[in-house]
Amino acid sequence: MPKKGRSAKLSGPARIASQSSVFLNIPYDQRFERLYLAYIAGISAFGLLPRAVIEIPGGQRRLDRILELIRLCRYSIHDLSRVELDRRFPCTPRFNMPFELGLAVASSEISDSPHEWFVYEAQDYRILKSLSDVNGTDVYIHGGRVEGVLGQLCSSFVRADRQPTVPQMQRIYRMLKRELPKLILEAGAASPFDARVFRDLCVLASAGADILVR
Amino acid sequence: MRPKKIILCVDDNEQELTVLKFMLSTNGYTVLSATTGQEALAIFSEAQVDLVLACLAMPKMNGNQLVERLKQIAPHVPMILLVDPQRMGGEIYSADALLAKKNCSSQELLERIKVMSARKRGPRKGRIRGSFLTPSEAAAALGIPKARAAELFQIAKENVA
Repeated sequence: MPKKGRSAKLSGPARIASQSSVFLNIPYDQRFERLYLAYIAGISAFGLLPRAVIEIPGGQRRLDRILELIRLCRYSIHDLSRVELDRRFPCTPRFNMPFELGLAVASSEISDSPHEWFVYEAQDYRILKSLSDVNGTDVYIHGGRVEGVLGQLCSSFVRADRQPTVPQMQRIYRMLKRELPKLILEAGAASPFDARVFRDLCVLASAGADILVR
Repeated sequence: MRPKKIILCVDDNEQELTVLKFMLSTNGYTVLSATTGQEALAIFSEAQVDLVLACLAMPKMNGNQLVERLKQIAPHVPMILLVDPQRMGGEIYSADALLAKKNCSSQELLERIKVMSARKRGPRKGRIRGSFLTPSEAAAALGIPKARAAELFQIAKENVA
C-alpha cells in the first residue's frame, strides 16, 4: 500500500501552505490562554502558519482530525507542560498531548515527506521522568512564560528564512491580546479556543508579522 | 520559453486604456485591464499579476486608494501610478513609482516596466526557499473569506504600523 505523504497529495498553493504549517499540540484551557497567544504570535512571526485541532469543525472524529492535521503540517510543536493531575474530579493527568506527540513521531517515521517535531515543557528535567522515551531529544523549556515561549521558538526555527526578534514577536503578542476580546465578541464565541477566533488570530498575527518583520 | 509577464492596467478612460493595452501587448506582455478599482481588485485576486499600472485620477476609488489596497494583499508586486503632476495634492503615495501621464513617453514607460518587473524576479517575498507565507496565503489556507481577511489586515496595520 502506498504511503500517505503530503507531497503526494498536494500541489501549488496548498503545498506551499503545508510546508509552512505548524501543528500546535497544546492545552486549550483558560490557564493556558497567554501561552496560546504567544505560540500563535511567535509562529506567525516566522512566516509560518499555526494549525490546531480546534480549527476544524466538530463533525469529524477528533482523532481523524488530528491525524489529518499532522499529515498536513511540516512541523509540530508539542507542549507537555500540563502533566500534573487535574484539580477537577476525577483527578487525572492529561494524556492528549503526549499521545499526539506519539502520533507525530510515528508520522515522521512512516510518512515519505519530512515532518519535524519539537517538544516544549515548562520545567527543566521534569520530562526525564514524565516521558523518558524522548530522552536524548532537545526539549525546549519555556518556564510557563510568554517570553520563554517566544525565545524557545527562536531556537526551534533557527533555520527558518525569516528571523524575527523577540521584541517584534512581543509586539504581535500584545496586538493579539488587545484584539482578542473583540474577536471573541464578533465570533459570538465563549472562549479564545473557538475555531473562528483561532483563525482570525492567526491571520491577524500573520499580517502584523508582515508589517514588522523584514 | 519564459512565460509572458502579466500587467494589470487600470484607467477609467477606455480610450487611453486601449492605447496602453496595445502598446504593452505588442511589446510582449500579457495585459489585463480594468476601468474601476473594484474591477481591478477582483482581477488581481484571481490572476498572478506581475505589475500594476494604474491611473491616479479615477472616480470612486482613485489610483492611490487602489494601490494601497493591492499592497495590503501583495506588497511584493511592483505598482506604478500614472499621475497628472498639476493635480497632485499632499497625499502620501503607496506606489513604487509615479510617472507623469502626459509627459511620459512610451519608451520611458516600457523601460520602467522592464526594470520594475525584472526586480520582482529576485527573491520573492513569501516564497524565499518556499518556507514562509504571506498573510493572504495564510488566510487562504485557513479558509478565511477575502473580505474578512482584509478587515484583519487593516486591524493589524492600525495596531502595528
